[in-house]
Amino acid sequence: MIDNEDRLREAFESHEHLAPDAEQVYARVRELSRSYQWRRRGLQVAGGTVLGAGLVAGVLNLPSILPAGQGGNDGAMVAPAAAPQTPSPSPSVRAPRSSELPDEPNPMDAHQKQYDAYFNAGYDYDDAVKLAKKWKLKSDDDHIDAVKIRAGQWLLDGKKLPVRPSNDPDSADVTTPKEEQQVNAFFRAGYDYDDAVRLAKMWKKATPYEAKIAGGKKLIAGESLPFQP
Amino acid sequence: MTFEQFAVARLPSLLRYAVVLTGDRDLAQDVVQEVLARAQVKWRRISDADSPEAYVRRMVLNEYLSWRRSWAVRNVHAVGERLVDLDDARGGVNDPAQGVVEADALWNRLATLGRKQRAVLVLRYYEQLDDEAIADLVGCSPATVRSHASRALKTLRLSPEFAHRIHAKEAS
Repeated sequence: MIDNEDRLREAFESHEHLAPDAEQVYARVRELSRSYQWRRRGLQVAGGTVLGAGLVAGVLNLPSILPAGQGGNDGAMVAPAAAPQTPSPSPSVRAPRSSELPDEPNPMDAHQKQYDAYFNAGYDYDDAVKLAKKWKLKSDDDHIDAVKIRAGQWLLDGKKLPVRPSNDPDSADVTTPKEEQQVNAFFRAGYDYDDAVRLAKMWKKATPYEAKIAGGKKLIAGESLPFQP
Repeated sequence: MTFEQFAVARLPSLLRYAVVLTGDRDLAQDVVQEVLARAQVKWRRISDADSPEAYVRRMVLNEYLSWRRSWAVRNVHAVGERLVDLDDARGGVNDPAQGVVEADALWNRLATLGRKQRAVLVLRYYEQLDDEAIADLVGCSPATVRSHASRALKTLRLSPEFAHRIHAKEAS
């Protein structure tokens, strides 16, 4: 009889072949890290208050400047966790060439209030899909951020959205508790795991996760953290 | 070791780890790309670590556990593409490669687990780490690791003998 321990191992090892092509992934890593370096420089120059124009756009628009179907993702690539949820690139902000990226406007800047209102109210990507359905709007990757912006504006105008936020702790379907909202706020602000490690040391937290929660709590309250992301 | 040398040598292994961890090819790619892009920016610091690979694998795990965006919505498969569909299409008849079929079925059931439960099983049975090491990586106590594992195995409907053994470990 085959041991269940072996069965699990077999299940894992027999699916290793699903791993994406390393060469394609590496090419994409190089593009992404270049964007990160630009963004870091932008943050340093701007004192960490405003992202350099177009640098986040560079991250956002990478799929549009890479060859189609790269890495087998076929456009399914999402914005990296360190970058905030973002509006989809419209023709006016799409960067046709990487050399033009630093001059492109940052779409986040224009709708930051709407995004903050949307996410701080506990709404997320899945909710945007539901809202799009209610409003009979498109919900594909090119349109979903327009839904978030519209929803954010509704909230700013004091209107109630027709969908309950997934992250609402009062919701019957509590899939994302308050802690996760705080962690999300931490990542949305551009902080990452290494920053959490650093904060955990500074704040004498037992784990980086606790630092993410504490950091997210501060950010939601409008406070700043001891250092920039 | 430069970042490039590291990537050339370790990227295939990292991708295998990520796909086993996430159970999703696209998500594995997203997670590894995101992690390596950050790692490259901070490579000087990472290369000073005792084991840069362990550091990066930890980053992959944390990225997976804290991944914000739901991938379930965009993880749309064509009919017949999913292993479960293939399994169903066989109509449960005996297959010469029964072991492969069983592994596929178990892989599908693994997809129903929560992220932490899945991660614990991957770290225990794929990475072959002990519960103390897993607890350190996941950021919880060893007892919580055992609890995650026990619940995961119950969900997977693995045999009582195995569950009993897990139970005995918990009691010890």
